[in-house]
Amino acid sequence: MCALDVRPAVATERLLLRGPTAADVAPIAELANDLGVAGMTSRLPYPYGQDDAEAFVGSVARMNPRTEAVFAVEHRQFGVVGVLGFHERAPGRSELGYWFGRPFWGRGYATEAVTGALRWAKGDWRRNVVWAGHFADNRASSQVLCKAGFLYTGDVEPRPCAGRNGQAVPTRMMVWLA
Amino acid sequence: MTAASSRRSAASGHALPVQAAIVVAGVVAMAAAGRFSIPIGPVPITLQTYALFVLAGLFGGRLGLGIVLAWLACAAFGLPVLAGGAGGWKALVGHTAGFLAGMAAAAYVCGRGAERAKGWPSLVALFAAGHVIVLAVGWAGLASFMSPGPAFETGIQPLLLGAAAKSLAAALTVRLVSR
Repeated sequence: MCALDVRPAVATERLLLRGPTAADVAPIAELANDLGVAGMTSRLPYPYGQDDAEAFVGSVARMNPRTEAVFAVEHRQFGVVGVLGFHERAPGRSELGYWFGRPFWGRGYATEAVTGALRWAKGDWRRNVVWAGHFADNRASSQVLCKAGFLYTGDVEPRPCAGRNGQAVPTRMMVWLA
Repeated sequence: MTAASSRRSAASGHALPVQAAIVVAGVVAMAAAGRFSIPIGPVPITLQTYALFVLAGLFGGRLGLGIVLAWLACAAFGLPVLAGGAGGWKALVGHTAGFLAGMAAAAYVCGRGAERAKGWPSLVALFAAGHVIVLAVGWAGLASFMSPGPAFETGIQPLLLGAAAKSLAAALTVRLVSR
């Protein structure tokens, strides 16, 4: 890593979104190793160990910053509470994904982080359209995305869920239009 | 001869500098109308179509189209002339691109129609048809981001009442100004 860290950071009222570092491996491994968390994301395997977290942090360092951006979501008091990222599923199609550790559910952190990330995506990353999807059985994520301004596209796609043994889960697609 | 047709012959009879002045004033009017923007969803309610149809009704299809194209060119070069002060080519090709393209088409169609229209009720019908063009093309553009059903519910339906009101207001304005 170069001395001058040029990776972006976003500050919200209670949270800081910044690039994940080696110091985040332990809290990420602890929070992600929860079927209630992994079962609502497409990528997180379950069980989730220290090596998974290390591999994840390593993969973020190799990402192309023009097409992908991943943030560790850090609470100003409690440290890392979750992870949020934009991935390119198809050329020019940025898709938002996130997860938050169970102790930090129900306090509006996800909405705050997503809102801050969208502000960054529009202002600094110059994105006018961001996609997202939530598993049809994930009401909390539906509320987060609606509050952040996402609209249902009307499409429901089967998406594999690593935490549910790769089983395809109906995913309601949403879009955010700047 | 209707007010619009007399206006039209007056406008097209003008020398080029006068026509250019009309286009510049039209662009300013479109930009000002975009400042009255109510962000109700992915597509804001603005006074743009009101200004558009007044301009097309007063100056005819050719100048009306010229105004819209000049306005869009200004937006492409980054001037904050679109709804809510937006500008730049990304705003131009975004999810409201269909509405902007529809406005160019509607300016020409309604301008040409206004040159022949008799009385204000026919202007109301004409401008309502113009709104149908704007909304239909806008809907098609929005439907490239979501299914047609949700695109209509979130992006078109909330605009219908305003479109009807603006058709009536634009027709009355054209009638009053050109009297």
